[in-house]
Amino acid sequence: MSGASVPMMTGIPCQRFHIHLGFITLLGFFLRTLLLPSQPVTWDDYSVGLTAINYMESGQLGPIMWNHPELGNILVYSALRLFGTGLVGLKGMSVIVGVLSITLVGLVSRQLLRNETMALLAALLWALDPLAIDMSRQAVHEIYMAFFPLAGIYCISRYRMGRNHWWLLAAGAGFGLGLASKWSVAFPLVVSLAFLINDFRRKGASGVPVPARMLFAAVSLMVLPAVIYILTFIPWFGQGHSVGEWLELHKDMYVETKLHVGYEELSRRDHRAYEWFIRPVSWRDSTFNNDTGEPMVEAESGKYFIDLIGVGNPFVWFLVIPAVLYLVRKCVQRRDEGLMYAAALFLASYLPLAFTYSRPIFVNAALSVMPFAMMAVAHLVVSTLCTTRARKRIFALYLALVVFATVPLYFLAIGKGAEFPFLRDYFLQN
Amino acid sequence: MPKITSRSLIAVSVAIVVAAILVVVLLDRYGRNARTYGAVGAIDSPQVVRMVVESPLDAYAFWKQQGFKGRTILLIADAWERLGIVNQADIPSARPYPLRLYHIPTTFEREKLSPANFLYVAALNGITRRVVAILSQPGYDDMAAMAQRATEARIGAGELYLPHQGFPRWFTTLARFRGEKEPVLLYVNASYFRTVEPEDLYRQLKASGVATDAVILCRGGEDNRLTNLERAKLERFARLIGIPAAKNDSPAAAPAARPRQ
Repeated sequence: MSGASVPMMTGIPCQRFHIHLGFITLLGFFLRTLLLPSQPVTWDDYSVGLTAINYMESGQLGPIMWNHPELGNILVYSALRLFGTGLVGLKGMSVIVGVLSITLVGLVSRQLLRNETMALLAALLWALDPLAIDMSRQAVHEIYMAFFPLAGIYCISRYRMGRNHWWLLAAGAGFGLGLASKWSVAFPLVVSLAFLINDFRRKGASGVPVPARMLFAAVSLMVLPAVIYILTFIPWFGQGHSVGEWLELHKDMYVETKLHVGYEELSRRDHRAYEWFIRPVSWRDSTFNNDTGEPMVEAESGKYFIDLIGVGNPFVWFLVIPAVLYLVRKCVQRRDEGLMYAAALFLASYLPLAFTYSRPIFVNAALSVMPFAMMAVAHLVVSTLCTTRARKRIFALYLALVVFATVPLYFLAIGKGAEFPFLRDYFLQN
Repeated sequence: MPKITSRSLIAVSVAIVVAAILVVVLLDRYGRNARTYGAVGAIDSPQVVRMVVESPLDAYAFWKQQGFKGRTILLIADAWERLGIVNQADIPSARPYPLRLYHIPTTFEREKLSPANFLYVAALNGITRRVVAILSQPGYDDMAAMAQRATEARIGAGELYLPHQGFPRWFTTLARFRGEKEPVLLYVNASYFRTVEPEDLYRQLKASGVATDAVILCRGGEDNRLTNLERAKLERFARLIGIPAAKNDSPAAAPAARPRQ
């Protein structure tokens, strides 16, 4: 990545790129809101609402996800106050963040891969990803861990283009909000800081001495996020706690996060991240819901259970490892910083999860990795298939396959799987 | 855009660092100032509110009425009352929009407060931010055995830390208790005198230098596990700290608490 003047490989005009990206974002919005009002409120959804109120009005942690940072509670509570306890209040934030993350995948991919076709494909894959769709339609805060780091990375890319220091402060804010959502955002933050410092060292001073730039970058990406992070604990401090107790709390949060085993039998759930991209895995939310309020009939108890199942699209999922290897090979060959940055973001986000044995890693955590996986897959597909006319036909076929596979997976993700004959059989077998 | 100089970058960096320090200091002060105290003294000081109540619910009512916030409760009892699943927040099976969400602390206080969960409800409602429990040796051993199975427990020599959803709970025995850095709300249940003599408790508490603004001795009236002997010992302890015999105070008698400066 060497500045604004770097020619884009595809030459799609900037305006057209943004229009295409806008359409993909709209498609993502459609998929994330279709039939959403009729999607039952899960146990987790309801608990998120309770937890947000409990935190903001009483400074209490829990009843669910007490070991995670608090930004989600602040955002959900704000939406509940603004829009009431309806769909928009409960899930509005997740939908907005989920939809905007599509735009960000496109923009960040464009900055790192320097190819509009790749960027648009990455955004499209993310827009169609069943897991991203599933989590954008739930009140839980998982989708934030995709959105906020992307926002930070985008700001860093803009900073590296024009050296406008406001972008660096904005990046710090993005990462700070990300850390205040999930700690896993620390991985892309560390990678970004390392790349930035390397960038300063390699390119030397351009007006401002390198040590001053490094100091500013360190403060923007370490101190500023930390300030934003601690500020999200204001309601908790209001319970009489001191900063020393806040540090103690983080010990407890860390222990719980490190050893959390979930609430279901592990044998029934995919829980090892090293299996990702090698075999199909799923994230499943089973919920019991009787919105009619009528007495439940035991013989028909099955109808009160709803399953929301996020499964990676196989035409994307199984390409991830080869795509990352290809990306690494290309960035070594070309010594391309953008590709290197993209590869490092994937590896830094994925490897800590893949090598975690102290606790199960459920598939919802893949949301912190998948945006970078999409970039790698888009890079591989476009690099290899958009070269000749014949290959472009294969590219079109690939896109058709992705869309074709998305259809049933989409209905699984939105809880309508049991209404389709083929998918109903799957349910009966499982 | 104004020209960026080395000096301006350093100035902004320093400003952010200073702001960060300020935020930390102010949050610390904000937290500490949120605590409310009454008149503080030793457990037998005349200015300290001391009373015997019949039920843990009376203790809760007193703390609530006094407006205590963000406090450490020093619980002295034979054993730790474990809470059943009924103390989890209710999630209705019917959840149509608009959701009928509720405020857990006030709902628990209104609908679920009981002698078994009064500390939990006090925590939910912000009366206490941490609990230190002095248990009898069997009561402590029981907790220590349970903590062996809890991932978040930290077990030291005669001291056990077992938080609940980030809420700090310390368990120890009288022999290991070394006092508290801040004034506590002292709550003594008659059950503690099953294995300990009142004079021993009095001596150890005095020796620990524990400071308080409210001492509540609970007879545990509805608890049929308690005997008259234990209640008689509680009365003896009451006299040791200067409460006249068999005096059951009204929670309304004491002046309200105030933030501590």
